[in-house]
Amino acid sequence: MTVLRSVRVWLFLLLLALAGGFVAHKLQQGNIFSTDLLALLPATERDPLAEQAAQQVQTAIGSHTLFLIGHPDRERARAAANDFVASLRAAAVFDRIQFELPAGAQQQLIDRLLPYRSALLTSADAALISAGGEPLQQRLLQALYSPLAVAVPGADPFGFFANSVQQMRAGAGVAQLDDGLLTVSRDGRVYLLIDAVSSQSVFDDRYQRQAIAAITAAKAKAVAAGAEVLGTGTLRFAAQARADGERDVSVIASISTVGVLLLVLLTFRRAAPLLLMFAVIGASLLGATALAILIYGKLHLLTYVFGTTLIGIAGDYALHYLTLHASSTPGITQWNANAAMRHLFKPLTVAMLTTFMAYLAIALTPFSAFRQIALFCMLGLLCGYLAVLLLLPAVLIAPTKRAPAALAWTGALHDRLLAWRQHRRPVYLLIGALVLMAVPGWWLLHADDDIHLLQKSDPGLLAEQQQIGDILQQNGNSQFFLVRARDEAEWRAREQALVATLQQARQHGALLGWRALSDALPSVAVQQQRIGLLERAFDASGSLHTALQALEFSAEDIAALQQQTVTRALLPISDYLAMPHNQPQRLQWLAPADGGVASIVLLDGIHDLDALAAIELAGISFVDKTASISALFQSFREQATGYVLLAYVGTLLWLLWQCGWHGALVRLLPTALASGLTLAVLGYAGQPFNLFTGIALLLVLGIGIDYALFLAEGEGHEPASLLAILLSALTAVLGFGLLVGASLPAVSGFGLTVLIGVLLALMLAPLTLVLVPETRVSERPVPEMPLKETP
Amino acid sequence: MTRWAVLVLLNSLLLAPLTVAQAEALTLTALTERLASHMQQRSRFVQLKTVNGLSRPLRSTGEVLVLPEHGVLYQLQKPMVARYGIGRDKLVLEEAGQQKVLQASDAPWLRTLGRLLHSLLSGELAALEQDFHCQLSSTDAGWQLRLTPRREPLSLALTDVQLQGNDTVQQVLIRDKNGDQTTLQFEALPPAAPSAAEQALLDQLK
Repeated sequence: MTVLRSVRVWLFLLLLALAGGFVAHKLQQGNIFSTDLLALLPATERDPLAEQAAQQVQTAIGSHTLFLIGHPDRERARAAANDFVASLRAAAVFDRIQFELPAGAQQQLIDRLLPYRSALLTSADAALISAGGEPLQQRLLQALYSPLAVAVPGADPFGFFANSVQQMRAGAGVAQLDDGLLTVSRDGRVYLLIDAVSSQSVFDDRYQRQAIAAITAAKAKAVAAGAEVLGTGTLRFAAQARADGERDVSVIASISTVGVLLLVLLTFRRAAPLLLMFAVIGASLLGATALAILIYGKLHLLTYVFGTTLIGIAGDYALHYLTLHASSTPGITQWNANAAMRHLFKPLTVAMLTTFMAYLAIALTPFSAFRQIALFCMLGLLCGYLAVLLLLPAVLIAPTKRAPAALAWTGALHDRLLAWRQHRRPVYLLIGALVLMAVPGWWLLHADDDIHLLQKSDPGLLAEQQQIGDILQQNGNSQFFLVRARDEAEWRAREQALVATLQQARQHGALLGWRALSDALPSVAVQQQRIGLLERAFDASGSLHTALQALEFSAEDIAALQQQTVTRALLPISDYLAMPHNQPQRLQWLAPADGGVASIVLLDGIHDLDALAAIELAGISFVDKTASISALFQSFREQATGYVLLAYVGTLLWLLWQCGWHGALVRLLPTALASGLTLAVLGYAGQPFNLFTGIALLLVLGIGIDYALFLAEGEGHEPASLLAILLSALTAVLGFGLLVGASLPAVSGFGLTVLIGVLLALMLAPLTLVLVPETRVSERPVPEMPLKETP
Repeated sequence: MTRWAVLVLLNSLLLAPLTVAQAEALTLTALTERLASHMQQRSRFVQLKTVNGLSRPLRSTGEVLVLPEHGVLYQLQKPMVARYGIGRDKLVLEEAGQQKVLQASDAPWLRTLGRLLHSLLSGELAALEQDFHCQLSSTDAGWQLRLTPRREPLSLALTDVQLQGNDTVQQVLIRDKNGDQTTLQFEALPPAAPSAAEQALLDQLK
C-alpha cells in the first residue's frame, strides 16, 4: 500500500508503539493508580501543627481494619475467629493482628504501674481518704473481706491501685477482655474483636488487592462456618472506591469508543475513517497516559475517569478533516490532502487551543487533583492534534469515492438556517424567552461543597461500619481538639478546662465521650499531693490510721499496711507514654516545632458537631478536616466561578480583536446562552452547583465556542462544517455524557453539566450562523480553497 | 476472681455430708454420688485469711446456703454484713446496703464461675478434672482432697486447695501463690428454708 510508504505513517506508528509499550510495561509493574483523594488536597489547616495532627490522626485511623466475628455460641465464634486470624496471618498482608492478648499481658501492665501506685491514686479514693470516718472504714472492710475485692497481694491491700488501673482502662470501650480475647455481647451474639494494622499505605494499588483478597478468603471460611463477619476500615473503603473507579473507566471508555467508532462508521461508511479515528483516539489516550505517568509516576484514578473524555474531544479534530475529505465530491473538486490540511490548520489549531486553554485554566486552580486531570487532558489534546496533523493527510491521499448521505442532509439544514436570516425578530424573541425561562432555575440553584462529592461510599460498607460502631459503642470521629500550651502545667490546665466543657457537652448529648491524656494520667504535682495525702493518712491522727485502729488492727499491722500502700515514685507523662501498652496513646502527644506542648483530644460519637466547633477556650482549637475540606471546596467553587467569568471575558476580548463587536457577540452568544441555560436546568433538576460544575462550565465554553467558530469561519463549505460540528458534539456527548454514570457524585455532576452544556451549545450554535453579520463575513474573504478548484 | 471461683467450688462441695466408710475405695465418682444424695442446705463458716505483713489473720464469719436449683448464697456476717448470690450466669452482690447485679456478658469471668458451680451442683465432680488435678487420699481422721489448678488464670494465683473431712467437710485450706493462706472451717446447720430476705435475693438469680 502506498500509505505505508509514508515516513509520517511509520513515525506515527513508532510513537504509538513506544507509548503503548511503555504503558503496558507500567501496567504490568502495577501501582500506577492512586485512590487517595485526600492526598491530592493541599493543606487545609492554617496552623501547621493542626495539619500535622490531622494527618497523624488520619494515618493512625486509616491503617486499622477492624473485624468483629459473631456467633450465638461463644466457642464457635472463637473457633471461627481463630481460623479467620490464622488465614489473615498466613496471607501476611497485615503488619500486626491484635486478637489474643499474649499471656501475662495484663500482669505486665500491673507490674509496670505498680511502683507508681500511690501517685496514681484516683481522685475518688483520695476524697474518701481525706474525708475519713465511717465510709472509709466500710470501704476498708470491703477491701479486706469481700470475696469480690480485686487487689494485688502484698502491694494493694485496700484495692486503691486496682481502682487506678480500672480507671486508666475505662477508655478502652465496651469490649471486655475475656480469656485473652476482646469480647462484646450483643443481641444474643458474642462478637470477638480483631484489629488488623496495615503495614503499607492502604491506598497502594497492589497492597489493596492482596489485602482484600486475603480478607475475602478469610471471611468466606468464617461465613461457611456459620459466623457473622463485620469489617470496616479505610482499606475497605479505598478498595471499593478503586473498584468503582476502575469499573467507571473501563465501562465509560469502552462505551464511548464503540459509540464514536459506530458514529464514524455510520456517517462515512468506510473502513479508512474508522481506522484513522481509532488511531487518533488511541494516540491521544496512550500518549497522555504515557507522558503523564512519566511526569507523575502514578496517576489518580479520577484522572483516568476524566481522561476518558479525551475520546470525545480528540476525535473532533480528526472529524473535521474527515468531513472535509468526505465532502470532496469526486469529479467536482480536486482533493489535495496537504492543501486541505493547510486550510483546516487554523480552525483546527484554534479549536485545539480553546479547549487547551480551558484545561489550562483548570490546571491553574489550586486543586492539585484537577491539575493532574487538566494536564492529562492537555497532553491528550496535543497528542490527538499532532496525530491528526501527522497521520490524516498522509493516509487520505486519494479523494473520496462518494460523499456521505449525511452531507446532503446537513446541506439542507444549512439552507433552512440561512432562511432564518430574513426573520431575525423571532430569533431574538426566542433568546429572550429562553433567558426568562432560565431565571427561576438560577434562583433555584444551590451550592454544595460537601466532601462527599469525592467520597461515594458503598452503602453496604457504610452499614457495616455503622453496625460495628453500634456494637462497640464507639464511633471514632475524625474531628478532634488540639490543645497547645507553653509548658506542661499550662497544657494540663487547658486540657482539663476543655474536659470540663466536654463534660457539660456530654450532658447535653453533644457527644458520647473523649480520650484525653490528662485524664489518663494525673500531673506530677497532683501525683505528689496524692502521695502526701496517703502518707498523712497513716499518721497517728490520719484517717486511714484511725479507721484501721477502729477495726482493731495493731500498730505493727498498720505500719505493715502502710508500707505496702505507700510508694513515692512519680510518673511523668513521657515515661507513661513510653510504656508499651500505651503505644496507641502516643499519637495524642505532639512535639510542636516551635517548642511548647501540644496534645490531641480524640472524640467519640459526636451528635452535635456545631456545639463542639463552637467551644472556645484558650489554647484549644477544634480541628475538623471534613469541614476544612468543604470550606476549601467552597473557596475553590468561588474561584472557579471567577475563572469562568474570566474565561468569558478573555474569549470576548480575543473575539473583539478578531472580528469586532457584532461578530464577537454572535460567536459568544450560543455558548454563553448554553452555559446560562445549563445552570438553570441544574437548578430545576435540584442538582447542586459546586467546584466541579464550575470547572465543567469552563469546558462548555472551550468546546461550545468551537462550534460557533467553525460555523462562522466555515463560510463556503457550510454543510461540511455543520456535519463536523454535529459529529464532534455527538462524540463529546458520548465522552462526557457517560461520566454521568460515574460513581463519584463530583464526576457525574461534572459529566451532567458538560452533557447539558454541550447539547445546548450545539442546538444554539446555528444562532451564530443566523445572526452573523453578512457584511463582515464578506469583508473577510475566505481564502482560496483547494477543494473548490476545478480541474 | 480466682479466690471467688475457689470459694464457690468449696462451698458447694462442702455442703455434702461425707461419710467415708471405705476410705481405700474412695473415688471421685463415689464422692460425687454421695454429694448428689445428701445435698446439705445450710452451714456456718469461719474464715481466717492471712495477709502478708499482718501479725494475725483476718477473721470473718457467716453462712452459706446452697439451693441446687438457684445457686449459692454466701453471706458475710462479721466483721461486715454483705451478701453474694451466685447463679449460673449472674451474680447479685449486696455490700454496704448497695445491691448490684453482674451478668456474665458484663463480667466474663462469671462464666467460669457459673460453669464450676453448675457442674458441682449437678454432682458432676468429674468436671473438676478439667480445671484441677484431683488427689484424693485417706487420712487418720477421714479423707483429704487436694486440688491443683491445671491452667491459667487459676494457676497464676493459686497454689492449691486442700479439703479435709470426716463425716462432713470440716476444713478447707486455700494457698495463694504469694504465700497468703485462707482457712475455712465449716459447721453444718440444721436445714432451714430460706428467709424472706434470702429468697428475695435468690429470686434475682433466675
